[in-house]
Amino acid sequence: MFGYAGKLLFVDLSNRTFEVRDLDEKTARDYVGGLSLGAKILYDEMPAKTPVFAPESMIGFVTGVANGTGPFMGGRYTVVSKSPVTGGFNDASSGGTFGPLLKRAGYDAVFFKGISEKPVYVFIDDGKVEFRDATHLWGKTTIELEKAIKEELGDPKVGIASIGPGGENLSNMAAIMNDEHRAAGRGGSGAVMGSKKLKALVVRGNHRVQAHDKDAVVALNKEVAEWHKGPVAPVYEMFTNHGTGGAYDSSIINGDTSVKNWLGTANDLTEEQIKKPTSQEQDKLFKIKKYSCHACPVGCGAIYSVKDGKWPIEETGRPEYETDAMFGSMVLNGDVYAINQCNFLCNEYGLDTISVGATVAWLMECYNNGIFTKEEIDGVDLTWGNADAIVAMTEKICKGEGIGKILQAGSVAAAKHFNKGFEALVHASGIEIPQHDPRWSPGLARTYKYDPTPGRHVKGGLSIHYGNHPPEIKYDYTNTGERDVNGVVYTEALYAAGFCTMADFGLPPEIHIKFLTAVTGFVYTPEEARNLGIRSHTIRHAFNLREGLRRKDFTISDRIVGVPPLKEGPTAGVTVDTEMIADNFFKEMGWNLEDAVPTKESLERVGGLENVIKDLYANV
Amino acid sequence: MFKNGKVNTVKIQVYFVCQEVVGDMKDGIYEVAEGSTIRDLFSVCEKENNIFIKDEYRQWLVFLADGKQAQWDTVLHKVNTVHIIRAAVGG
Repeated sequence: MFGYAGKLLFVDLSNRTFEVRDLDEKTARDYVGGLSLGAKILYDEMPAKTPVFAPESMIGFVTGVANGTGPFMGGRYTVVSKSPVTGGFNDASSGGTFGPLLKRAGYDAVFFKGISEKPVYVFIDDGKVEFRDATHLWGKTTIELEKAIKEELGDPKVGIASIGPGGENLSNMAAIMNDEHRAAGRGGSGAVMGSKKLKALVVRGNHRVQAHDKDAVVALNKEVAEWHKGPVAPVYEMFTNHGTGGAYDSSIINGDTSVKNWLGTANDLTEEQIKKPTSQEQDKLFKIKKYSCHACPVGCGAIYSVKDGKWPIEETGRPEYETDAMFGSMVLNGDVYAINQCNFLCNEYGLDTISVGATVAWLMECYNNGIFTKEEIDGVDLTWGNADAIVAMTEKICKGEGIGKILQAGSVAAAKHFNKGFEALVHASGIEIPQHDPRWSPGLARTYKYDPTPGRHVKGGLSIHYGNHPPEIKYDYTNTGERDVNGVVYTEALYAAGFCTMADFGLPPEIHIKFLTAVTGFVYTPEEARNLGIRSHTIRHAFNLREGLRRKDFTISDRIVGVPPLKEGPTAGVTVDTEMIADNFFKEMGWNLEDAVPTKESLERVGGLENVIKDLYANV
Repeated sequence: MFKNGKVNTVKIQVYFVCQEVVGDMKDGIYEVAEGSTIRDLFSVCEKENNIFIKDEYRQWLVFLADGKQAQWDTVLHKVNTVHIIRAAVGG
């Protein structure tokens, strides 16, 4: 097969054994890679209702066909597992170089089950699998760990996906980090790694995966380069120069970004608090160089050095937009030194900046409303906007110190632990919400609530930019189904192939399917291409159905959908009809409206879902 | 719109939050004829700044008129402030 290493690795950490299997062509064609192939393998290999930290629980690192085969913006790998937060399916992807390096090590995907007796890291060296003791590495932060492993192996170029203390402590917010600053951040996959005593997956190799038609890949890349000089040039310029945080100010002003734990508007912030955290302004203070993920001409990453202020940092990744907002507007903070310190701590300890920031914001609202006293929160004065306190609480969470030990489980678990503060929680099925507001782009309400991995702004549907439409269009909740499903079809195939979410502006429309054909040689008719996306979404959803989750089990906090509506700002008066948008989506997908179970006919129409049909309709 | 044979004008405070699209267009007060649209206002901004934006780049602009979402054809009736901001993508 072209575009694939053609091998899958299954590792059992309990007895330190492994099995190499061939990736068959039908599975590759139907599920491609990334979240889609990952969900398929997890569905087939992991028993239903396995407790997330049990030995039978699995975690997979899955490449996309674009990884290392040439396509621009195609460097992302995906981690799949059950989520300790939502109890359902979890996928989280990350850029950098790890995905392409995993494929060069000889595997399209690596899955782990079992629990190692002692901390371990697994080193895949050009196909060869080695279990290496990690007892001396347990407790290390992610950057310390990367340095230590590179020194130990005498190779500064190995790819490393690892956990920090957050994952070791089984935090619901634990991320998997690679390339020092990149994170498969959401849903707590780092905790699944930690539960297996798996500190890192380390890869290197010389396995060259060939594209079916290299000339076609080159030609398509030229088309992408031209596209960047064309209609998307201004957006390209912002991302290539300033990264995702370049849109911080505009997103606050237009109502897309959360202010004051989703209670406020731009009016609650000073002009300086809106302006200073933009990447344009932070770059002037801290930027020392930019960097790109594998084969990416956009290069939205940058390295910062904070040389002055209360929290100097020798070298760190530039905070993403989500992080700026979580530790900025969300907590009424405009201190960029504090934002960078929080970002640095989360990366070092291997925690998701979105969930950590949201948990601090939750506690801050509770504290300011008198639900928690200063004594109850370790003497930290969490008055809105207190930068010192935001850093102090973030540090407690990262280190698991004092109240931070409880907060490491996330805001929902913390509210349950203390049995208070429920009214200030903002989440979807237990996971904190990222920084795009459904009251501004209402389709996100359906995506956040009902995507198989809830609470994700990068998942498909009506999308973030639907919010740019006039109110009479975006707040008309009738007939949204076809467009919503089209959005899902697009993103599922995009991520299955290993492309970045920035492809929504960075790649010409539908070119990802052309890349897919150029790399693999698989030709997809328009209907087959559509089915790729629907199949991917369905297999992820089917994992949740098999866990017993139904429509009623997916939840979203009232506040985030405008219940009650905001009284001022661009989204004043907006209440999103989440259920109407969901009804439209389910109808278009061919799912039962009552419980969100796909009809047998809809599954048969898509094809490649025989196991799902067997599980759902064995007795029908 | 006309009074004593002259066009009545209104002054509008404009803020640009989209430098990668509009370059160095300056925040400030711009004067347009009463009954003008956002499109008319933007044309005035282009002329006064001597910066002219390609049609294909205009898709990346959205507007707030006194804090409420507005479009190119929105008439600026009793509007004091217009924010010209970048459209949201990804991130």
